Amino acid sequence: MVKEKYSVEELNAYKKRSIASEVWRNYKKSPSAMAGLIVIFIIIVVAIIAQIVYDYDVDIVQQDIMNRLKEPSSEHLFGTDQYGRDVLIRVLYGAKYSLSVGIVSVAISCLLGSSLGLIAGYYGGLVENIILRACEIFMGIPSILLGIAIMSAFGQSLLVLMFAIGLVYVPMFARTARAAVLPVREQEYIEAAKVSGVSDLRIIFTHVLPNSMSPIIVQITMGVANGILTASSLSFLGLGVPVPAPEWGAMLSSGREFIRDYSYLTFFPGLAIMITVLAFNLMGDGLRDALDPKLKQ
Amino acid sequence: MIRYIIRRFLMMLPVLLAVSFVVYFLMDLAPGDIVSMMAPQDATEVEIEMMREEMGLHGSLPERYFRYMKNLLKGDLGMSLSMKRPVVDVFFERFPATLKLAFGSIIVAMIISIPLGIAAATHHRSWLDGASMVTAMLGLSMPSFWLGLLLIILFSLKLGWLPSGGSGSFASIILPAITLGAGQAGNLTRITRSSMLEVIRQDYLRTARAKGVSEKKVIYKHALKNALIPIITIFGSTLGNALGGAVAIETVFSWPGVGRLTVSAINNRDMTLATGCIIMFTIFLTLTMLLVDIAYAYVDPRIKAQYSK
Repeated sequence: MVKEKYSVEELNAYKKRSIASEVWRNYKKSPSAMAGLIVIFIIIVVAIIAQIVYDYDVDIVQQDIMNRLKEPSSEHLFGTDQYGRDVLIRVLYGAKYSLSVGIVSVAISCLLGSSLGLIAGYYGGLVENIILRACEIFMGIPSILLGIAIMSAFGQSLLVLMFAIGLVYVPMFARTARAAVLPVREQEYIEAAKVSGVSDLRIIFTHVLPNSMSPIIVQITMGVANGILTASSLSFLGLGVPVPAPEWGAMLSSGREFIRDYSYLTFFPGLAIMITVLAFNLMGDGLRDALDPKLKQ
Repeated sequence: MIRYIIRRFLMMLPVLLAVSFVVYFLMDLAPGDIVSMMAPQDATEVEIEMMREEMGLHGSLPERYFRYMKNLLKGDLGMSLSMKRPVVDVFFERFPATLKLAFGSIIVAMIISIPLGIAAATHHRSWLDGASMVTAMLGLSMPSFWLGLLLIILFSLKLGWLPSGGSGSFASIILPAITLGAGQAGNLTRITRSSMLEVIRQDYLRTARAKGVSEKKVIYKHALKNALIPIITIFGSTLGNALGGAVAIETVFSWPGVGRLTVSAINNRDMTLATGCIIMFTIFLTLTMLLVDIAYAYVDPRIKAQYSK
């Protein structure tokens, strides 16, 4: 039986449920998206516990020549590296580098890029043209080469790496945000807000942004995945987090010397990168479907 | 159409100038310069200053950049500081190798992704669909240099079937092309699948089926042709990704291409070579994008109509 009258509370409750929880309800339906979310959660917890349990100077970087290059065994599940350090502990501890680079760099590129994209899309005209052309310039340079150039200009450190990758992906966010704003710009409620004298800034934040969020949110999760991959390639090329920090790309690169006889040194750090990136990609896919069920085929 | 092409060409110029400025500026910021790296240990101040002048590195940053830019506008990328040879010569000596690798990887990507994408779309929501999507996702998430190393471990070191580096024979391109192609294949599979799924629902396919065309012909003749259009459009970005990805892959397989050349130029602070290589990369990418857009117009008359507006 269909209820004909709803109380105000019931209607309000319905309205509240309709945004975030609707997305969550859709998201939950996809097992792969849930798997991604759970894996990300586990990686974050592991990264935090590893910081507490292990001491950087003793467990992570201290050399133990007696135990060098031990194959994986029950004592050292992932074996030990050329300096006798436990690879498993280093991989667990290293999660923090990839996660923080991925997350901070995306925060930088999302803040900068989305603002530029919102401005470009909202104002149009000359401003839009300038911003889009600037994006084209930066997208013309292959991202890894731009990353290398920035890293060599400002020196190698975790902070510069975050900044470099953040900068590299600014154009992508700008373009995504602009494309998302375009259909919103023509809506009547924007015109109504303008006519009633609402300031541009307020229109952008209260009307434009909420209505063009979905693609930006999806880009954020995909951006973390891309950021982690780019960061690990830079470290692999020797231009990322400096040694002896257990960054996964750097571990892979130093294990490469021993690839002939001790291939586990390259196997485990790479596996860790892949699992992390995979989890963020799955989450991004799930979010895209959950935010816009129409797109799902 | 011609006007559109000319406009695109003219737009390239400011982009290239800006790219040259960004890269030149970044290279200038980098600590340590090539002159002090190359000068003999007992060189005097005067000698170092003379070397600087010889290499065209004297004066302030704006002075140096304007000198560089003036030559650039004449189409002269200058001399490589570390190799003492024109940048253009050095670049084109190594470029074919990178191009070969990039195209090889795209061929690998297409061989994997088009059948996989079609299978996924025609068996929508079956185990086949699931399996191909998982494969695509793995390809997208794997660090390419890691895959390269795993392939070396398996096929070069354990089985000894293929060489792990160099570029002498056809066999030597197989592993790098697969490595670089795997990541592209992930993307291409997903695009083939979704564009195929869209086409499959179109009325003209129903018409084709209704008039009794065999299912095989419906898929491969009527559907695939239309589904390929979006795949062509991303060819430009695929090639771009392949060229960018080649930087790490060339290092893994010691492939003598421009990716490795650029990285070593940046590391050696060879400003002219690094800037020149990146400018050439950008020119090549922009030209590819333009060609792709033109090809797109020929494949799809609807797009052509848009350009002539």
